[in-house]
Amino acid sequence: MFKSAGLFSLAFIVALVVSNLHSNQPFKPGKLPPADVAALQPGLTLRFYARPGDAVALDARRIRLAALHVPKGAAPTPFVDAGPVHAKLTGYLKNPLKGDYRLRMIGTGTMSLRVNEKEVLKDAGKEIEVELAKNYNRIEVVYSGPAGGDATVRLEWAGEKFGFEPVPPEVLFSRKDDSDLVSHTALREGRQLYADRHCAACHGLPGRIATTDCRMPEMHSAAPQLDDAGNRFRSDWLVAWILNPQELRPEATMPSVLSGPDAEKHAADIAAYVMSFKRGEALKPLAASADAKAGGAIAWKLGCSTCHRPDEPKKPDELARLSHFFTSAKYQANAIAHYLKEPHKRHAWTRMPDFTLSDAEASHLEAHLRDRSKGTIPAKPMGDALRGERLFASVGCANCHQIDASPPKKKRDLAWIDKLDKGCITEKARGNAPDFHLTAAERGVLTAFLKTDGTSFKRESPAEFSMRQVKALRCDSCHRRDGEMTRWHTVLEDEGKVPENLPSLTWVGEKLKPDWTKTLFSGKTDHSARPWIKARMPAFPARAEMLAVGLSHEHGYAINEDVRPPHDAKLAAIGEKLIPQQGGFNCNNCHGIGKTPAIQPFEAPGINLTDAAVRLRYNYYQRWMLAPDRVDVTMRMPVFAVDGKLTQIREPFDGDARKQFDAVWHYIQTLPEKKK
Amino acid sequence: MKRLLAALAVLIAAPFLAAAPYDEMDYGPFVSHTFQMPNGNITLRGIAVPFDAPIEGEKAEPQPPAKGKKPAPLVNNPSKCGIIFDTELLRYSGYWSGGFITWNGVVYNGSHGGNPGPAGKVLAATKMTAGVAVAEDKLIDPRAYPHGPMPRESGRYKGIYRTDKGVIFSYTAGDSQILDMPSIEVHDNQRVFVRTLKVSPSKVPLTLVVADLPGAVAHKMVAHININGANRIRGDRIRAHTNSKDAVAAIVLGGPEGTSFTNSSKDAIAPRLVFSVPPSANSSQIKIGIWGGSEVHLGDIPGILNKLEGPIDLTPLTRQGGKARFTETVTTQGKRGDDKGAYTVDSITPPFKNPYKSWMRFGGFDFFSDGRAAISTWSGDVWVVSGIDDKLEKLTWKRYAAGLFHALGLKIVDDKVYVLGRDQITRLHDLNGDGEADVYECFNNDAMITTNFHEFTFDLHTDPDGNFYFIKGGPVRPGGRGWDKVTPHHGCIFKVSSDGSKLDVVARGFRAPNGMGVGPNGEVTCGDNEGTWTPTCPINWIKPGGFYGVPDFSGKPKAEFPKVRDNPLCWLPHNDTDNSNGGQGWITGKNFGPLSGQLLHSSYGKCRLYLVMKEEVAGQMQGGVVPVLPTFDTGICRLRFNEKQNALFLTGLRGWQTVAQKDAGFFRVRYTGKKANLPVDLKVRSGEIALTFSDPLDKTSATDTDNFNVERWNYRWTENYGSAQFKVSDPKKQGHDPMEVESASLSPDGKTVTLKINDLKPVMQMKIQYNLKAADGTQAKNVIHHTINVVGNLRGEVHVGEYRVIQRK
Repeated sequence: MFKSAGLFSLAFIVALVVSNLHSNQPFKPGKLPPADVAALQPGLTLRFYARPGDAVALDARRIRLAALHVPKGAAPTPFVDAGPVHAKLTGYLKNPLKGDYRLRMIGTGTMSLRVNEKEVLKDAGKEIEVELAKNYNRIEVVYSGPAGGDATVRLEWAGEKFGFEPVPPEVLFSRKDDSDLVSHTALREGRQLYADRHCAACHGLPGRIATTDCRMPEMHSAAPQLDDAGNRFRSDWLVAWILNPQELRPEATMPSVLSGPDAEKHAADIAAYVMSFKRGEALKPLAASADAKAGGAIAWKLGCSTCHRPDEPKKPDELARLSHFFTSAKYQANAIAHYLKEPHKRHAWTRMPDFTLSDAEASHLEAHLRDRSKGTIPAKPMGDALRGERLFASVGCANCHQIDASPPKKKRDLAWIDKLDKGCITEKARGNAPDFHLTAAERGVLTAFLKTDGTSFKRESPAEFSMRQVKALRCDSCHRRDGEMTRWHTVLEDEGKVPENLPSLTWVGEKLKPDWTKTLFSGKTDHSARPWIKARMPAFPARAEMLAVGLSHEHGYAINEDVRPPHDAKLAAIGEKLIPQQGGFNCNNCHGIGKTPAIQPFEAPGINLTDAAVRLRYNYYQRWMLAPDRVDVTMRMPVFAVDGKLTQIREPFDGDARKQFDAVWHYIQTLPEKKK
Repeated sequence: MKRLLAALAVLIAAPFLAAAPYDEMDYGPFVSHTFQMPNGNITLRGIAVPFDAPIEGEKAEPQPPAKGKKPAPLVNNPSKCGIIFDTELLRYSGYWSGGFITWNGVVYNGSHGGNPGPAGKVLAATKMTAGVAVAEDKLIDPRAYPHGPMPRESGRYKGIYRTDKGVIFSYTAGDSQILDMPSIEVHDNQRVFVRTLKVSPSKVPLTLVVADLPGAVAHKMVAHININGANRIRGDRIRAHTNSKDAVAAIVLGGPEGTSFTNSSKDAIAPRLVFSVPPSANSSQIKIGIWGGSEVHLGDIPGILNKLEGPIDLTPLTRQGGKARFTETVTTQGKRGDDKGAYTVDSITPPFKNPYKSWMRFGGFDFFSDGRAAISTWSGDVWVVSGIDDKLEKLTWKRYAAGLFHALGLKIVDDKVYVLGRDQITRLHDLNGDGEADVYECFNNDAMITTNFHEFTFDLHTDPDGNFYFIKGGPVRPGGRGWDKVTPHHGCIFKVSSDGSKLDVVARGFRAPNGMGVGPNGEVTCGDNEGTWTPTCPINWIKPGGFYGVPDFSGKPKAEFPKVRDNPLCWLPHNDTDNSNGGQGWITGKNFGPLSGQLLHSSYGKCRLYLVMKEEVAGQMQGGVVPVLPTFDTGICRLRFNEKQNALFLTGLRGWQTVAQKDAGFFRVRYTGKKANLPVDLKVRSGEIALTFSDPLDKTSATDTDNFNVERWNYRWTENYGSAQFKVSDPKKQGHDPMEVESASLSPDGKTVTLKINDLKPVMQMKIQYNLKAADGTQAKNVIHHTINVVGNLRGEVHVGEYRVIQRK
C-alpha cells in the first residue's frame, strides 16, 4: 500500500489553530478570500451526532456527493455505533453564474436544507426555487434517519435547462482544515495503516477484539503465500528483499525485520529456507513464443504505464507509479507470465489487476518486462535453510506469511497498548522490533488511532470502503471521475497521445445496479459492455461485493433501490416505434440491439440496448436520456431534449421527452427476454 | 471477423427489413454515383441507366430471400437491365441484366464504405481506359493521376439529354462532338445493348471501345480469350470475343465509309472489341449493337444482330426536350411562427409523402427571380417550390430534376439552376417549359473524386464577379479516423470561373465541412467538422491560399506538411455549440433588425443558428457566436437571405449523426420588430471585452459582475479525433480556467457592457455566459463562445500539439 498519511501532521496542527476562526463570521455568498479557497477540497463534510442538535460530532469524513445511505441496523461509519442516524452534510456549492435553481431532497426520515445560512426546505420530495450566488454558496443538510429503517438522503438540483439531478461533485467543496474532519481523518488513516501493515499479525486487535469480529475487509487480507516461492523468485533478489524491502520498493508494506552485523547473513538463511518451498517442477513457458514487441503493444493497450514505470524505484515519480526496475531480477524464467495471468492466486488482496490475459499475452508481457526491467542484484552468498527456518519463526516472518510447513509463530505481543513509546511504532526506541519505515505522520495517525478503543474494527461502512478502494486500486488511473482527468492522460501527454475514452466513474454508483457491478468486479461477466474498447476492465474478486455495495451507498442509494414504473406492454410497443430512424431516435445507428449490431457507429459506438436494460437504474436512465451532456461532457450521445422537456418528435405524447423515453425504456426492458 | 460478417449481414439484410426509403424511391431516368463492378472495375463518376426489356416466357429466378425477409424490388428481375456510362473515361463501364443497381452507399442504405453496383449479371464491360480516342493506341487512361476528367484534348463529358427515346450522353473526343444514346432492344428473345451515336464532322479519326468481356478490369483480364477463327464472325461489321464461357458480340451499323472493327490490337492476351471511324467532312450516324451472354448462344447471334435497324439522327431529340415524367405535384401547407420573439420561424412543409417516394433530405436551395425556390435533395433530386407567400397556405412542390450525385449545393444564376453534386456542377435546362429539366449540362467536373464514402462536396455560392464556390471534404475512413487514398483535391474550397471553364483551389485543409458562405463583397467563410486534425468545429474566414487544418490535404508531400494552422475566425465547443457544422449566410437586407448586415452560422449536428460577431484586428479576423433561435428539428445546413421577402431562409437534413429528428426542413425566419436582447458586437482589447447588445440593458444587472461567468481553454491541434479542452494555466491539464471579471460598466446608451478582465490574451476558446435584465425588465440570458487570435501586441498561433502566444511584430 502507498503511504497514505503523508500530509497529515502539518495539516493537523494548522487545522487545530485555524479552523474555528471561520465559523463565527457571518457568511456572505460569492467570492471567498484566496486563503479560504486554498483551504478547500472537493466534496462535502459529513458529520454524525449522537442526538439531533448536538454540538460535538461523533465522527466526520469527506463525501463526494450530497448523499448518504445507511442501511437499517448498520453502523453509519466504523466510528459510530449502529442506531438512529443523525447527520449533517456541510460545504459549499460553487456556481458559475448567479441564477435561480430548484432544489429538492430525496430520502427517508427528517431533513432540512439550509442555503447560505437560511433554511429553505424541509422534508423529502418537496422542491424550492433558490437564487444561488455566483461562486460559493454555503449549504447544509441536517438529517435524521427514520427509526428502524434505511437512512437515505440525496440533494438534487434543477436549472432552467436541466431537470433534477444529483448536485454534481464538481461543484461541491468543503474545508479540508475542518477540525472534526482533520481529527477523524487521522483516526481513519491510523486504522487503515494498522490493517495495511498487518499489525494484528503480531499484536492482535486493539481492545482484545476477536479477529472473527473484525468487519474491516482489509484486516482479512493475508500477506502473499510463499508455498511455491522456490519456483518463482530468484534467490539473490529474495535476500536483498528480506534484508530491506524498502530498498527495492519504497512503497513496500513489509518491514525490515533484520538488523545488526549478521543481518545479511540471516537474510540469506531465510531466503534459503523460503527458496526451499516448491510446488512441482520449474515453471514452464505459457506459450511457445514470447515477443517483447508484442508485449509492448499489449502493455500500451492495457495502460500498464499508468501504474508502473521502468526506472529506478528511488527516482521520484509525480504519479507515484510502481517501479518494475527489479522485476526481471525478482522472478525466475516464466514466473512473470504465470503471475500476470493469475495475480490474485497467491495474494488475494493484491492491487495488481487481473486482466484475464491469454497465455500468449502473458508470455509477451513477460518478454516486454524483461526487456525494460534493467535492475540487477549482486550475487549473494548462499544461506543455511535450516537456520533460516528458525529465523523465519523467530523474527516474525511466519506471523504474516502462511505456509504449509510453517514453523511456530512468534509469540504475539498483546500488551502493545502500553508501549506506544517503544517498539515498531517509534523512531528511536525500536530495539529489535521490525522497521516499517514509518513516517512521522504515519506514527502520528497510528498513535492517535491506538488511543481509541479499537471498536472501529467491529464496524464497516461500504461507502467508506469503496472510497478507499477506488483510491487504492487507482481506478482513476484509467477512468475519469469528478471532472478530473486520468493518470493515463498524464502519462500519454508526453507522447502527444490520448488514451481511449473509458467510462467516467463520477456517477457509477447511481447509474449501475450493484448486481451488475459486483459481477463486473468479480471478473464474471460473460461479455464486455463496450466491446470496442481495447483496454480491459480488470477483476478484483476479493473486493467485488463490498465495492459494488459501497459505490451504491456513496450515491445515497440502497443496493436494491430502483424505483421504476411497472412493465407496460403498450408503452413498450410505442417505445419500439421510437427506435428506428424513421419516426424515432435512430438508436440502432450507434447502439446494437440484441444481436442486431449498430448500423454506423461513427466515432460514437453505444452500449447494446440489451445490456442497458440489465445494467441501468431507471432514475439514471431518465436523466441520461434527458441530458447526456450533463452526465458526461465527453459523451457523443445526441441531446434529444435540448430544453429538457421536449424532443423534436411530435408523436407520440406531443413531444414530451420524459414520456417518450419512458416508452423506450419499456421497450428496452423487453430485450433481455427476447435475446434476439 | 465474425463481428464484421455480422455487421455486413445486417447491411445487406437492411433493405429487406422494411420498405426502406432508398429502396422504394423512383430515382428517375438515371442515377449518378460512383459504381463498383465485379473485379475492381470502378467507375468513379458514372451514370447508371435502367431499362426494362422483357422477354416473353422468361422467368425470374429469384434467389431465396433470407428467412422472414422479403426480397428487394428490382433484384433478380430478368427484364431489368442497366448500363453505366463513365463520365470521366467516356466509356460504358458495364451492361447487365437481372436487376438495376444495388442500393449500397451512404446516401442509400447508410453503408460506410460501399458503393452501388449492378444488381444482375454483367454481360459486357470495358476496362478502365478511355472509351474513345483519336487512335487505338490512345485507348489508355491518359490522365497523369487516375482521378478526374481526362485532358480536354482527349475528351470531355458535356452532359445528358433527357428525351422521349431515352437519355443521350453528350461528350467530345478529339475535335468531334458526340451524342451517344444507350438503349436495349430485344430480337428473337435475345437482348441487345444498343448505342446510337451522332458524330460531328471531324478531321481526325475516332476509335471507340465497344466491349471487353464481362470480367474486364484495369489493364488486366481475368481470363484468356480464345480468338481462333471460329469465333470471329463477319469480319468488319460483326465481331465476337469469347473466353469459352462468356462471350460478347457486336455489330456496327452506319458511319462514314470505312467505319469498321480494328484488327490492330497488339494485346494478344486481352484483345478488345474496338472500331474506328475515319475522318469525315459530314456528321455521321452510327449504331452499335452489343450482345453478351453464354458462349453456347454465340452461333445465333450474328443473325440476331443483323436484325438491328440503322441509326436514327439524335440531334433533333436534343432540341425538343423530353416528355414530363414527374407530372404529379404535391401540395403542402406551411406553418407560420408565433411571432412571439424578435425573430420567428415559419415552416415551409416538405413533401415527405410524394408519389415518387423521393427521400426528402435537403442539400441546397436558392430562389428564382419570381420568388419560387429550387431545392435539392441528398438523394439527387431538384424540386421547385411555389406559393412561398406571406401565409404559406398552399405550397406546391414540383419535381424538376432527379438522378444527381449527392446534390448538396444549389445556386440559381440568371434563373438557371446550378446543382453541386459530388461528380460535377450541373446546369439544368428546361427546353420545353414543362417544368422539368431536359438537359443536365456538365458545367464543371474538374474536381477529382475517389471511391471513399465520406468525401462529400458541399454548398454552392457565387461571388460578386459570378465565380462559383464550393467545398469538398476528405476521404474519412469508415469508423471516423484517418483517411483513405488522398488526392490533391481533398479538403479544398474551389472556385469555378463564371463560365465553368476553370477550377481553382482557394484554400486547403478541410476535413468534412458541410457548408460555407460567400459574403456580399466576396468574403469566403466555411465551417468544418471535428475529427482527425480538427480539434473542434471552427468557423474559418478564408484567405486565398490559406491552410485550415488537415495536413494531409495541404497539397504538400508529407515531409513538408504545415506545422502551423491558419487561425479560424473562431472555434466552437463540440458539446454545447457545434459538433457538425452547416453553412454560413449573410443578412444582406437592411430591415432585418439587429441581424441586418450580420454573418450567421448554422450547426447541422446541434440544429442551431448562430449570429457570428466578428472584428478585424491587425489583419486577422476573430470573433464568436451566440445562438439566436431555439433548436430546429432538422440539421441546419444552408442559409439564404431573400431580400424581396426580407426573410432568411434555411434548409437542412438528417443524414448522419445529429440531434435532428426530421429528415428535412425548410424554414423562413422573419423579423417581427420585437426586442431581441441579443449581443451583436464583440470587441476584445487589452484588459477588456466590450459587448454591444441590440437593446438597452438594465444598469444594475449589467454592472453586477456576478451576472457574468467567463472561462477560457485551449484545444490541441493533432491527428487525434477531436481534442479535449485544456487549461490555459496548465496546458497539460484538461479543464477550463475561470476568468475574474473585475468590473462591468455600461455605456450611456445602455447597450455596451465593458468587462474588465485581467490577463486577456490570445486563446482558442473563451466562454462568456451572462444572466442579465434588459432595460425593459425582460430577460437577457445567453452564452457566447469566441476566440481571441490577437489582442494588444500578442498573437496566438495553432501549432501541432500546442497553442502558442507570441509577441506580434
